[in-house]
Amino acid sequence: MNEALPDDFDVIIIGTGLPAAVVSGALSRVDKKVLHLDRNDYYGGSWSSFNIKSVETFLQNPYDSAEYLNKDGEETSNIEVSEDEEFVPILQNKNFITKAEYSCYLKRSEKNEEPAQSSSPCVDTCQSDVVEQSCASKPDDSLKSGETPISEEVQKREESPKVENCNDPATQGDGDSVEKEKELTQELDKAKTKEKVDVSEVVKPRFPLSEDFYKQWRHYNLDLSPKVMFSRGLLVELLIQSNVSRYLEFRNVTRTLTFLDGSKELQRVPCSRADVFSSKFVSVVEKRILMRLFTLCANYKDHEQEYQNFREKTFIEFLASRRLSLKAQHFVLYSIAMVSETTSTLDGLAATHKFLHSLGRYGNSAFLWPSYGVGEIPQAFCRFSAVFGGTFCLRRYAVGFIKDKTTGRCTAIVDNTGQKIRCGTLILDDLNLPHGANTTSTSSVDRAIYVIDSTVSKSDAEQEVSLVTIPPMCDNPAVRLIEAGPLCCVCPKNNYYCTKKNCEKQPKKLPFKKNVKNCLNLDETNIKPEVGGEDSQSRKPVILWSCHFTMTDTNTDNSTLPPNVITLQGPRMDLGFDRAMNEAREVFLRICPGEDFLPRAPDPEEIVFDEGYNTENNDTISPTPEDGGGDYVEEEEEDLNEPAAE
Amino acid sequence: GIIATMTEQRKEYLFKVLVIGELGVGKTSVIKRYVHQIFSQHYRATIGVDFALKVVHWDGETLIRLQLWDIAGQERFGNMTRVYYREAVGAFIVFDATRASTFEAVNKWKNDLDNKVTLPDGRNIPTVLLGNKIDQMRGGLLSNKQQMDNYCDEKGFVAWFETSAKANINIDEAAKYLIDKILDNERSYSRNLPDPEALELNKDDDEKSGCCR
Repeated sequence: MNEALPDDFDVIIIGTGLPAAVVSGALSRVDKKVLHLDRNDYYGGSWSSFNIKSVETFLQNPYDSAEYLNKDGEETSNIEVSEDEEFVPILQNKNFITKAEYSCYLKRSEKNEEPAQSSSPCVDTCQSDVVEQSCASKPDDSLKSGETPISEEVQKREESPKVENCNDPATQGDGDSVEKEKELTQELDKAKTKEKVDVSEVVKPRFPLSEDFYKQWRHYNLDLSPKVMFSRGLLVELLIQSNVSRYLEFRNVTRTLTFLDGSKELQRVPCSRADVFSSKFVSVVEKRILMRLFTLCANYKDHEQEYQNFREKTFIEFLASRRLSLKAQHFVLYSIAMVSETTSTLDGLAATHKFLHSLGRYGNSAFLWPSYGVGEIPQAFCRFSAVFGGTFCLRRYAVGFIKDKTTGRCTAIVDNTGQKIRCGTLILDDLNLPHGANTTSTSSVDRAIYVIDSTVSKSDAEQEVSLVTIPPMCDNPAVRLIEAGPLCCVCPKNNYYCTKKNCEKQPKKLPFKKNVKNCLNLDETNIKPEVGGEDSQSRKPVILWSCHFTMTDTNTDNSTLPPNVITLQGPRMDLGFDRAMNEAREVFLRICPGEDFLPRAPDPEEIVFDEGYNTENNDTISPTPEDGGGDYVEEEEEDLNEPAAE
Repeated sequence: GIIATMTEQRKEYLFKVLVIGELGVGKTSVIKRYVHQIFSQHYRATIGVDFALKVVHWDGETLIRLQLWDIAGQERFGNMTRVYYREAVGAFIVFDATRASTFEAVNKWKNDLDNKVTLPDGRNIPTVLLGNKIDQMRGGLLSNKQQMDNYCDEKGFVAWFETSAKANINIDEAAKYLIDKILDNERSYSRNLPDPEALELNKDDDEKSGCCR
């Protein structure tokens, strides 16, 4: 696809991460001429979701090997610029994924051990064989009644309670734990080899063979940046307002779980009025105290007197003053407000308010989860942008931009085919860094994705998505985990999948992986075939596949760039999408001051035509009886779709 | 993609069908001809429209709502999002019978399609190959019918048609053929209804009694 692109646009956007996609959609919607490029052959950048095959490929090499310029951006001699112009290279952000690794803990079948794993047979079998595993098409009932373990996706995120303060780019000082992990992995490998021998005669293995697991590669949608949507967050409002929601499906986050001090079991956090009243973990007295707190938080701005004395103090001190038990403080702090012990009272109240405000809009929940994963969201906005005229091209990117020395403004980009394309504004997402601009690593997150074979916490009702918060324990940073079930179209039916993330504030402590595994009783060494009959209620979830990586957010200092070059931030560690949506709106308004940000798009159903129909010669196929809606199809002389033969 | 509603004897289906092919092969013309019974040499890519909707009274008992998803004007470099492919149950791949290069690209489009979407049972979605602009043909690409049949067998197309959106040749026939194949698939496995609990954002629970359930 090396066709020449048109060579003049209002706005050129490089990278299809979420804020970039939202800005793209918003600009196209108000008739700006937008060119949107991405160096990858997939949409979403650091917001992407991958299937098992593509995530393994990605983790092996997260970066494009073909770089147009050398690392220092020096090799610019072949770019023709005039004397009053300067060429500024744009480099790929190669710091964004580090320490990537993945493992499948499942055994291969004996007979297939010799021939190396080949991917193409997998595809064939997948297409003919795996019907029953498709989570997308499974009706609810079969999941509830099924004897097979119910599959879920677990997205687990570990993060420091001091997210905002976390400035260490967690690259140094971690050698120890990496080494330990390696040892651990090697031991596991040995263990696996041993087991293979022991086990060959067992008839019905509890776990699938590795090749059967990979046959279902297509059914996974694993997020690089797992997040949930606050039901009243900016993203939800924007999706509704713009009608982009028609491209997406959602699931409820049906429960919030946490560990209480000293407890080995995950417990359900009472969030709503109904939860509080039915909770077994909260005494009658506490129920009243909690309800009063919730009532206050829902309207905290009108009741300043209630927290007047705590303005300078921490939220946890405020909670203690409300005579909340330690347990209840814990629920509120880590699982409802999702803040840390150092958070101020006002911030804590605001966070609690935000949670409570979102609660109950869609079911008994404050959060929604996008089916097929977070990666669907940027794609929905990109489709929206394309439908409104945006030009999209993947595997195409800017190797640099041209800056007018007199005005200091960017006048054009040079793409990787060497084409010069003029633009009024240039927007770069977090994976494209202008050479010479000041960049800082703002935060660093360890993330993991686990495919596990059963939920982290059994319950009577089928859970769609669970949000698990693990408070900081023994100096280990807090962990946040999202578990999404098979209804969420992120994994096939017989597996669980989880990702976790962690801000590695204290790299010398217990390795992140081990910490989380211990907490959740996850253990890949449990993978050994067993002949049925086990009490599926009591057994621990087992990791079938896992990956770990560190994601570093890079912040570019815009002040060193031309005024019409705008850089966007990466996903960061926020649980929700508000920051990204705010950023997108600000960028849009900077380019189009006073314009409507993502006004409602018409539904396709509103654009049905019925003029010109006639039915005379058609018995079986006859025209629609429906009335036509608005006429959004413009007829113009310009003829993009029917050019003369090339 | 498919909502099959049974009301007494009457069946209603919603089918998402993709229309794919190189720039300028007449995808939009084919859709317009089929859906609106019009052909115009002068229109630009439709702006703000995801798909054209055609309601087909298939037989006395079956009503089909056919969504024809064009490549959004500007995804023309072949980089459609998953949103475009998701839950499609059939496709047309269109080439310009007067331009060999557009036929050469057919294979690429077919591979791409098969990679991005499958039926719930894992099979490829039924795809009909359309050689469009047949009214402009002199001599032409499609003279060897046997070769085209073999090509379709080999590449996994369910059929091919010579069409002209301009002269209204074979458009209805091709659509009818594809719908027939889609209906066959519907009958060959019991379709799961879309999960009733999938959320629509525009319908929130505000009006209800809130969090008690």
